[in-house]
Amino acid sequence: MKNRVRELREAHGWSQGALAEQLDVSRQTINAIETGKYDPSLPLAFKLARLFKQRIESMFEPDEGR
Amino acid sequence: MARMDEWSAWQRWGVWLLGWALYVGAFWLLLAGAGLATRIVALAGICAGLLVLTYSSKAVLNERMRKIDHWQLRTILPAFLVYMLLVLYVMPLEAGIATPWLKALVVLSPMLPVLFIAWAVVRYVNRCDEMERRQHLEAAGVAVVVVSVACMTLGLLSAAKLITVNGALVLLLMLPALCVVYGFACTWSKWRNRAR
Repeated sequence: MKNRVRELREAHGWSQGALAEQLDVSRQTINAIETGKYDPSLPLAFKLARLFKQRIESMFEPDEGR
Repeated sequence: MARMDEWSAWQRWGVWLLGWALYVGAFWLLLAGAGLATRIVALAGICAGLLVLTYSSKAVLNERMRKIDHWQLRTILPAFLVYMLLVLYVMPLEAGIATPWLKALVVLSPMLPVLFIAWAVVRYVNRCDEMERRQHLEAAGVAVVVVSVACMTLGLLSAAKLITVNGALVLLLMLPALCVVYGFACTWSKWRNRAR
């Protein structure tokens, strides 16, 4: 799954730790999502979308190559 | 004062090494010394070492201490201390006890804090976030595979009378071995995601 989490986080000027605190997850979870090592569950994806005021499909898109 | 995860790398690694030195040194003191005062100092050192290691291990992985981490520390550290006290001062009493049920009660007394710690670990994992839960599950899987394969290997060699295995010792080491492999697997998994 490709995502725009890093791009949106940097646009808001937040560190990974700051975003993790807002979502009540660990910083490494944010790092794993950003690097594509981990695909978040639907509840966490919705939390991310709500926080960045985005539609979920504009933040995540399937990686067709995988 | 800045949070430990915001300290510079050398400070975080320095504290982490200090924690290990304190922990290993205190364990050595516990094994080497026999007096009450030495044991008290050693137990205090072990607890302090665990405290420093918990904070610094998070910090070297660029991770902050969360509410659940503080809860885990507050819950597990006293239980570990009770376990150590039971092993040091209650278990040796079994030598002078003839009644089988009382002997069993004394020998099994450390299992109470062990079961409490197991409950605390399960509760901690349930309160972790979704990716951490997956890491814990993978680590538990790795630990079960490694320890069971090691046990089967020893069993096969023992059955062929190539080695002699002390059954009681193997059973005693099963839980510590699972915990150690689980710990290594968990740390390895977290280490891979440490970069900012």
